[in-house]
Order: sequence, then C-alpha cells, then structure tokens
Amino acid sequence: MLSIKNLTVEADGKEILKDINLDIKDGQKVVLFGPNGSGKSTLFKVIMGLDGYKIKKGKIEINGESVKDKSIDQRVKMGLGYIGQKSVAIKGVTVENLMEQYEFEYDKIKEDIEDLDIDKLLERDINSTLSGGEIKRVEIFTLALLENIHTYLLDELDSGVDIENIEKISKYLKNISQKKSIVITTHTGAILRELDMDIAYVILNGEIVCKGKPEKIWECIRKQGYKNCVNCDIATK
Amino acid sequence: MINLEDFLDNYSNVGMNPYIVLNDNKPLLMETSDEQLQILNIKNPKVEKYLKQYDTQENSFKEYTGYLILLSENSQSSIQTCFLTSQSGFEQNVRNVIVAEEGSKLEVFTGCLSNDHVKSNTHNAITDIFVGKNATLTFNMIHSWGETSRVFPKTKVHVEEGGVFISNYVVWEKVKEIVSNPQVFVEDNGKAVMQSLVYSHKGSKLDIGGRISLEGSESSGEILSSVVSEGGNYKTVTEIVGKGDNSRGHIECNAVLLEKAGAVETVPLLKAQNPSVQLSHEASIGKISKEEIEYLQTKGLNEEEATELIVKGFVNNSVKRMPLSVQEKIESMMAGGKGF
Repeated sequence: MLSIKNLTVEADGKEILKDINLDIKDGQKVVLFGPNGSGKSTLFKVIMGLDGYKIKKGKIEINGESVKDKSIDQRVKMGLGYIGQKSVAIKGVTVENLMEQYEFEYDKIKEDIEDLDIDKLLERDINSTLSGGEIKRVEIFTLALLENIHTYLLDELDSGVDIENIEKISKYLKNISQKKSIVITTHTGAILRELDMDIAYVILNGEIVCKGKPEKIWECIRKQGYKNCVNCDIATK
Repeated sequence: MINLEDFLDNYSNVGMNPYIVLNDNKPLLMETSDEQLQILNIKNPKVEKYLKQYDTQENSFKEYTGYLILLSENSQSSIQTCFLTSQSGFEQNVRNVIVAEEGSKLEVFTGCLSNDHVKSNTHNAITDIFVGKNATLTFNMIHSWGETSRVFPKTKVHVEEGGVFISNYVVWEKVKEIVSNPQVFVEDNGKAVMQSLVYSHKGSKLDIGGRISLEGSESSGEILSSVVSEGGNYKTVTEIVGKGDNSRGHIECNAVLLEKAGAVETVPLLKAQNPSVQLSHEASIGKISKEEIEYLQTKGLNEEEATELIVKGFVNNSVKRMPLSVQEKIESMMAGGKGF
C-alpha cells in the first residue's frame, strides 16, 4: 500500500502541493483528474523522489516504510513503477541496451513484447524518433522488466496517443494489473473508456478537492469544467 | 621483456591476416611479397627506389624501424599491424608508408601497445599514406599505450582522384600525452573522413585534431570528434580548407563531461578559398543531463549504472559509422577488456 499523509511540497519557494492525503490500497485502481498545472504530475514526481521539490511537511510510505532519503531507483525497488508524462530520449541507447541491464528469462517477457507489439522497436534508440503511441508502449514494456512492482504511477498515459494505441495499452494493463495498484492521471479521460477505475480524485491548485466514482466525476468535469468541482454534489468529500 | 608469442596470442584477435609487429626499433620480423600485397622493411633498398615517385615527408630519425605496405592496382586486402614497446624509457621511432594503388581496397587495423611494466616510453612516428585513383583505404587505429606513454605521430595522407580515405582513431585507455594532427590532401572527387573517439582520463594531455585540404573539384571531407572527458586536458584543432570547385566539408565535435576537473577545447577552422565551396561545423560540450540519469533511475538503475549506460549510448552514437571490428573492440574495452 502507498500512503501519503499531510504532504505539502514546495518548488522554487512556492507551495505546489498542499496537505495531500491519499491511500492507494493494494490492487486499487485510482484516477487523478485535474487541469494542467494542478499538481498531478508533481505528486508523482515527488513520490518517485525526482529532483527539484522540497517536502515541507508530511510523509510518503510504502507498506509502512518511509521513502524519505531513498533514491529514485531504491523507490523502484520498493515496488513503484513510474511512467512520466514527458518522455526522455537517450541517444545511442536502444531498448535492447536497456534490457541488457536486467537479469530475466526471455521467455518471461516474450509475451509482453508480443502484446505491446514492440518487437520492431527494440533496436531503436529509447524514445528517439518514436511516435507518441510507440513511446508509451515501450515505456509500459520497461515496467515488465522490473521485478516486484506493486504500484504503477502512470502520468498522462493517454496524452498524444491514438485510440488504437490506447486500446492496446489498456488491454495489456488490464492483464498485468489484476492484483496490482494503478494510479493514472488524465486530462482527456480517453483511457477511462478502456480501464475500469475504482475511485477518482480531483486536484486543483495543489489540493485534493474531491473524490468519488470516476465516471460520475468525469461526466461532471466534462460538462461543467473544473470550476464546479469544489462543493460538487456528486462528490463524497 | 614481453614475450612476443604471448603477445600475439593475446592481442592478434581481429582476425586479419597478415599480422605484422614493429617491436621497439627492431626491424620488421618478416617481409612478404606476394603479387598483390607487399610488406617490406622500410630500410629495404627496394622501398627507397619505389618511393621515388611519391612526395614523402622527410625522415628525421636516426634510429628507427618501419614498413612499407603496398597493395597493388585493383586488388583488395586487409592487414593488422601493431607497434609495441617492451622497455621502459624507450623511444620508438617508426617510419611507415602505406600505398593503396589505383582501384584497390585496403583496410588497415593498427594497435599500439606497451607491456604493463613498461613506463615512460615514447612513440614517434612519421607516416605517409597514398590512396590511389579510385582506391579506398580504411585506417583503424586503436591505442592501448600505458598511462605514462607519450605519443607523437606525424601523418600525411594524399588522396588521388576519386579515392576515399577513412580514418577511425580510438583512444580509450590511459595515456600520458598524444599529439596527433594528420594532414590530408584530397584531389578531384576524392573523399576523406576522419572520425575519432577519445576517452580523456585524468592526467592525460591530448591534442588530437587534423586538417583536410580539399584540393580538387567535388572533393569532400569530414572530421568528427567525440570525447568522453573524465578530467584530462583535451584539445582538438580541426581544419578544413575548401579550394576545389564545389568541394564540401563538415566538422563536428561532441563532448560529454563526467567530472568537474579537466578541460575540453574544440577549435574548428573552416577556410573557403573558392566561392563554390560549402563548409559547416557544429559542436556541443556538456555534462550528462540530470533528466536522463533520473529517467534511467526510474527504470531501476542506480546513478552509476545510469551514467555508464548514457556514456555507452554516446559512444554507440559516435562509432556507428565505424567498421564492426572497431565497434566490437570498443565494446570490449568498455566492458573492461584490453584494447588490442
């Protein structure tokens, strides 16, 4: 279980997450809604320990163990799998080069390669000259190389991706994540048509302002925008 | 003293034949003289006679060793050579000439080595390379001198009409000092490509550049330098002079800095002496981006593993145009193997 308690975060002297409380239970599927700049991506980056953020208050725990002072890779070893919104291209490093860094049996990942249709992408440089959909498929695949991941943090998985790729990715995620937790962010809502999520949270200006059933909240946002999320009657605050 | 047989067993491994060694200043062990490929001791009287037709550099050495490699017209061959010093404080002087005659295709794979116990040795070389009309010469050099070695080659290359000269120059292991600035002259429709990959270790002083003079019309030249700096002093002065009609030249230098110490200096010079020439250069020097390291950390790699992989990518990108044999050697060196 991933547990966030009273988390307040600063960047460049400005408070960008305010008193966030969020428990991701084992196997739970969670969606975070919020307009651009609301703090969804920041929350993921802070959970992963990326540079540039200062935790003013609160704590993040994985199965009761604090992630404080843990490096990014240590947090991955603690069970967090993360895909950022922005892809990072690494010239000269192919997906195969990355695969060489892990010990695994090829048979175990053969199916992942087929399901995500990335066989032809393995010899390509990571995230370089790939389409939006190809990048996300490769990114999802890299999570299959990691052992012991129990919680996936997937930031804007459906951003810049066509319907066909969203279907492919969603189908794959459904298969692999039955017993795992997933937290996704979306501002297009496209992926909700393919993935059944248990609960949704809305983040506005760095604060969780609402939680409830994903379909209902999304319907409300779609019709009325985020401005009505505060004190919205469908939410269970 | 290094045992030559052991040496050959350990290092003669790129599979090219024949394989020739210049040990200290001793004469070439054997001469071969088949119809197509001749390898002769530079002091053989036949060599002097043959070279009269060529404009060669002056030989300023008193004591020296060396060879002539001569590939005859329209033939094809490859050869592996090695410069070896086996005594501390020794000054090796090498005078070499390589000729690929008209229409021939020659690949030379050269390594330089000193045994682990050899300290403070110096390697001087004067090399003339002649690439005949429509001939192709690929010259691969992988250094593996010791960290106290000093290396001063003087190389002059002449590329005749339609000829192609490709130099792949790799310095990956520790060396005290190298000054290498080959001069290449290219005639009509000829082409010269000089690529280098250098690892600049702490305590190294490296001056590795070169000059291509595009003499003929439609001639072209490229100088591509890639540097991984771990605190050494690296300088590259590269120059392309466009003289011939429609000649084209490009200089590129990319450096990645792993340490705060040391220096990387790149000085590209482009000189157009004809209004129809087209010359360009680009350069980038910088440390590995935090974003790339963090990205790989999110894939479970620690900071050191991430840095190593990014450097590997930089190297892969730098050597992708080099022959597979060179790429494989570099890969083996990166994995901790001996260079040559």
